[in-house]
Amino acid sequence: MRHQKLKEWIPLLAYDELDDDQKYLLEKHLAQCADCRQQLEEVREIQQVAGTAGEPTDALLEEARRELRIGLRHQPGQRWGWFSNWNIGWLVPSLQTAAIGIICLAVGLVVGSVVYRQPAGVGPSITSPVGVQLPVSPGNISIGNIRFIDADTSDGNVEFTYEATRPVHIKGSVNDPAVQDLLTVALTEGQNPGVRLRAVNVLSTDQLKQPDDAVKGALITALKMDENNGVRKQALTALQNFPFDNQVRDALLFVLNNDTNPAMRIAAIDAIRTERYRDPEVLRVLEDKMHTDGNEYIRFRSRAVVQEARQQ
Amino acid sequence: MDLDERELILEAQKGDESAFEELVYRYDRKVLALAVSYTSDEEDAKDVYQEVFIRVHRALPGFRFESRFSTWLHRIVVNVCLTYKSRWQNRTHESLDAMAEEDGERPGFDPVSSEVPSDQKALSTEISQHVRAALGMLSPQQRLVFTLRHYRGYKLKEIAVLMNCAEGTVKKYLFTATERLRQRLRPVFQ
Repeated sequence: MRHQKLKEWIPLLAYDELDDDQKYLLEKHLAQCADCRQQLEEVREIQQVAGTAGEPTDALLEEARRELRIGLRHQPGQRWGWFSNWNIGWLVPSLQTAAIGIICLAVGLVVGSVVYRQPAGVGPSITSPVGVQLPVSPGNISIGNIRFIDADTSDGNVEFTYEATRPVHIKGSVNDPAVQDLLTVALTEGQNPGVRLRAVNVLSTDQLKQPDDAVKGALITALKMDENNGVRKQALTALQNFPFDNQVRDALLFVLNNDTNPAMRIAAIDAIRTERYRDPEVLRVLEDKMHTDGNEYIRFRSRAVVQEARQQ
Repeated sequence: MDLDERELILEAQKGDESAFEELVYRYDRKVLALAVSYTSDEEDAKDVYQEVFIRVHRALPGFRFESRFSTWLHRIVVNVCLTYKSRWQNRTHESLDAMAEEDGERPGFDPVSSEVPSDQKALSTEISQHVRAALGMLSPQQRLVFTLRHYRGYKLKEIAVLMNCAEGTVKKYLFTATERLRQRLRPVFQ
């Protein structure tokens, strides 16, 4: 067999991809060919220096999942409910209601300011696609994302679009569903961790007489997904005000299984312990954690809770 | 495919996002591990991971159970890897090619220094950097075959299925990859 062909088999030999006949032929050739022996040696050195692949850390996986969730949410036509057992699907109707309300309010304010402050036809104006006359001097409207459609001024006109937002002042009862909707949006969508923390603090107040499923869903989402430890911890505390149903139980078990912060896992065990820790699913997870958790104290706590449950 | 997984897929196809989540969780650690091995960069790996599952989410309604779900998913992983424009790879190509040109050599000429520090840890780190740089100089196909075989332990036959090409082609990629690595890393061995 030709030298070149046999040479191509060398990496296959190193990676154990030759059948017995091929191996025999190549080994016979290697006994006679110093060049190929040298090549085999170098391929084996490559195998050695290339090393072995490590597994991704839990933190990296968690980060990737979080970014995926955000990425999927921004897909065209994407439903809001990805990771629906994290209960963010409920946000759709409430978000729509809140958004429509805010838009109507903003449009009303804008139209009002035009009607009462600036006579129509006075000064330059811009026509929005829906025909609302917007003032050039926008008062407290914040303008952004200006995009030119036609920047050619040869005919004396210019055409562009922009986004106008106006701050909306809300004062109302924490038991008002509209207020709760906005707070849950702030908790799950707020970019600023301080805002999310304040939102979760408000949602965990004793004044909340009839916390609904939407609030619970937002707290569960924050508990599982928020990147800020303080927000997750406060969400866990707030959830303890809710009946310990399967949703709450699953959220706590999720924390126990997935949260990389040991303090959160300990808080989850404590929350479970004070509730329904004899639940078979809870016991199964705790029994697993008492052997597998990387944190010695968590293994100890899990074992203690399991023993306590067995004794009762 | 076990019944449980089939049910999950059917539910996810109907729009049950928790079923989709469960599917993601079953495979995503493996996908991320492959992405990390292939890109040698955590940020790039997260990009690959995200692109894979966005494509899966988009294409899942069209999945017809004609192959195993894991095979279908890994074909998507392979396609994403092959088409992914790595930030790190671009930097490596640019910097190494620039270095070679500065030295009056043709672009792609072996940029690996033969000087290695004596300290064992520094040596190991430097070798890793050389290996990473050398891998970055391979074509996406060569690099993927090497990654799948060397780092993830796939047999060449399996790689051929995932890459939708003949086993002989995969063997050629592996041969070319090891040849190029051998040439580029020779100064490290010496």
